[in-house]
Formats: sequence, structure tokens, C-alpha cells
Amino acid sequence: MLLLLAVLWYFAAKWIDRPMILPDFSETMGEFLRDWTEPRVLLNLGITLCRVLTGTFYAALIGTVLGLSMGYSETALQLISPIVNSIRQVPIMAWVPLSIVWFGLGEGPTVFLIFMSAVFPLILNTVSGVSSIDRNYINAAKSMGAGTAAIYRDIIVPGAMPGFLTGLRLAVGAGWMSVICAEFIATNKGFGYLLIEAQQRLQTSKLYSLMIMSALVGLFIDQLIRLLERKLTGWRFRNGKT
Amino acid sequence: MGRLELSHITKVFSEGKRERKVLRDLSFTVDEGEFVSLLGPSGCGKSTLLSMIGGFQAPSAGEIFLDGKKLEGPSMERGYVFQNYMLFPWMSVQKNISYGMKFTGMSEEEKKKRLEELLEMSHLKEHRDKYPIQLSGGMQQRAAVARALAGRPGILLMDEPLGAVDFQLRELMQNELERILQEARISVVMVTHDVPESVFLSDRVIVMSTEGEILEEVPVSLSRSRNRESAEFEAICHHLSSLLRKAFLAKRKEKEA
Repeated sequence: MLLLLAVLWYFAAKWIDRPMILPDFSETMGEFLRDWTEPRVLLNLGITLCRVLTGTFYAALIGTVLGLSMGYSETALQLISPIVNSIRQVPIMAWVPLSIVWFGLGEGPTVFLIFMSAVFPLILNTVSGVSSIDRNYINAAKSMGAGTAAIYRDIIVPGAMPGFLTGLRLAVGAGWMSVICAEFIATNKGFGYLLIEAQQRLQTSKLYSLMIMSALVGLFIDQLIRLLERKLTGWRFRNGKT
Repeated sequence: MGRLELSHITKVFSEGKRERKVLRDLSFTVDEGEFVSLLGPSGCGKSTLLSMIGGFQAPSAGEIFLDGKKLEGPSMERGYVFQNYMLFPWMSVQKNISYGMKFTGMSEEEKKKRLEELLEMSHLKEHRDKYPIQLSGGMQQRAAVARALAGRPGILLMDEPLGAVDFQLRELMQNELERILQEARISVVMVTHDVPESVFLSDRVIVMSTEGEILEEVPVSLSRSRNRESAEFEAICHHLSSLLRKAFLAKRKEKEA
């Protein structure tokens, strides 16, 4: 499939013959390979990944606390969910101006935007993870003498883990997508900034190469979380021995 | 240890404005070491009754005593085997079985010894590190019983413990259950809708009507282990079946009238 795409690209580029729109395939691949070793690209990629990590970390923190309490207590759900659900409706890019006002240019607004796009999938999936726990697991633990703390530690947290991890996958994905957008506007460092730079310098082949890179990095992160999923919730799989 | 007394238990569920009485003024006792079955058609409130003995729901009226002490909320004096077992899927068999021991005052050595005892009793030694999903239905059932017995409760409550098991396997597992419980010497209340099962396992069968009342208490004094083909066994089964049928027909007549 990928091969077919490459062949298509190769001939389409020859036929259109305007490297500004669709650069030559082999030239782009050359650029692509060069970019993986170019310090400036790697440095900016690192900066961006760091931002994603920080933003997702805060989102996971808040998301876990809110998600667990909203999933377990009906009162908390009634109180918090209207707020969460209305804030969630604000398009992520609409936060850009405000986040610049709040944090200035640079690190602040990008991390904030990642946080905003990552926190909601985490909350929602953790809530559904907790509420999918059969009441009788909790009853079973109680009948063996478990108190509230033990029930959280031994039943709620592991029981909600699959939902939480699904949320984490979506969150990192959303974070990775929004960080690039945020970097277009609010900063002069990072992967998104490189993209804008390539566009302004009319380096279309570089633009293509960076886009392919971003897709691969996203895919890699996703695989990493799936690995984590297998590791932490191996009990869900019949032959998934830990 | 393990004498249970229910006095004038009533349970009312409110569905919007309407009220539905599921249990009406039920009283009975379970003696130390006695095995009592609650037998009745589905919807007679027998599972609700058991869950109240477990402490997961409160009765609308009436009181429950264990060894003279009034019950409020769940505690480890009552082991509970749930329908579908409810083994914690994220814990291995041995962690499941030893879970309740965490909350007792047992020393580490005692816990280890008890765990080995329970694994031996439930024939799960080779499967101790497996997760519940990797076990057969029979193994899950034995693990659930072992888990409920771990903290040495005075009484064991079982909600249709063999309800999820294939018909062919049932009798085999009834034998297993009998062996385990004879070893444990413990009072048992079991909810079931299977007549031969109740006769095979119980010292006494309490038959409930669809209205949530006790129709009759039928003692089963056959010696163990019981022969399912014997005339006495079949006579008791027959008697219980006809009781259930009558209860069912009465209900239908009432509806038609």
C-alpha cells in the first residue's frame, strides 16, 4: 500500500512538474533522511515532545483526580460534569489568544493548549472506566473487610485502568495534534515552528518530509502507550502473561 | 459460631410513586453448621434477601442477627460467593484468594499457611498465578469459594453459585462444593432455583413464593453423600417441585381473576 503510494507520488510529481506543489519523490525522501540527522530538527522535535509530555502529565494528574471522583461519587458527577461539558465545547484553537494573554509567548501557551486538549478525553474515559466497574466487585471487597482506601487502591484504580489508558492514548494524540497548531502561532521554537519556517522559505520538500516525520512520531507514541496498556492490564488478555 | 437469625424482614422497592413489596415479613433461623437453601422462582426476592444478609442492602423493616449480634453493613464474618463469582480480574488466583486475609490480624506465616490450605482444598495449586480469565468456570467457582472462606467467616452466603455452569458439569461441581464445605464445617445459606441441587446440598430447604413469602420449610435428613437416584431423594425433589408449581399456578390464577 505504501509502495503504491510512493509510485503514484513519483509519477504524479513528474507529470505535474511543479516542485512548489508536489516536490520530486526521491528529493523529498533525501530530505526526509537528512532531517533525521539534522540537529536543528531533532532539537525542535525534542522541545515539542517535552511540551507534549509536560502538558499530558498535568492533564493526567487532573484527569485522574476528577475522573475518579466523578466516576465514584454521584454528587461529584452532578457538580462537575456541567462545567466540564461546557468548557469542552470551546474549540481548542479558540484558547490560543487567551492562553497568550495569560502566559505570554513561548512555553506557557503551548503546554496549556496541550493540557486543554488532553484533559477531556482523560476525564471522560476515566469516568466511564470507573462506572463500568461492577458494583459487586466493591461489595465483594467490603465483605472481605476492605475499607474505603483499600477499595480505591485495589478495586477502583485497577478497574478503571483500561478506561484511563484509552483516555491517555486519545489525550496524547490530541496533544500531539494541537501542539503543532499552537507552535504555529505562539512560539518560535518547536516542530510546528519548523513547519511554518519551511513554508515561508518555500521549501516544500522539507514541509512534506516534516509532515511525514510528525506522522511517524505520533504513530510511535501511540505504539508506546499500547505497549504500556499490555503491560499494565495484561489480565484482560487470555494469553497475555505478564 | 455462625448462627443466623432473621426476624420479620420486609423489603419494599419504590419505583417512582408506586411501591413494590418484594419480601413480606420473613423470619427463619440457620443453626450453627447448617446448610440452608432458599429455593424459589425467579423474581421471588431470594437474591435480594441474601444480599441483605450480606449487608449490601438494608431491609425496609426487620432485623438480622449473627450469633446474637445485629448486622449492619458487610463484614468479614460473612463470606459471600456472588453470581458469576466476581473474582477480581486484575488479580491472580492466589491474590484473589488471599485478598481478605490482608484485613485480618493474621501473621505473615499464618497467611501463607492458610493460602496453601485453601489452594489445596480448591485444587488450584498449579493455577495459582493465573488470572481469572484464564480459568475454566469450575476453577473460577472453586476460587470464589476459597476466597470467601479465607478469613474463616462463621457463615457462607452463596448466590446461585452454579448458575453459570453447564448442565453436564453441575452435578460434578455440586460434589466438589459439598466436599469443600464439609471440610470447612461452616453454616451456609445458598440461593438457587435448581431443585435437585438444593436437595443434594442442604440440610433444610426454604421454599419461597413469587410474593416473597415462605411457603414451607422442608428438612432434608438423608445421609451424605447423597444418592441422586434413591427413592427418598426423588420423593423430596418431587415434593419441592410440586410446591413451586402450586405457587406459580396460584400467582397465575390471581392475575387472571
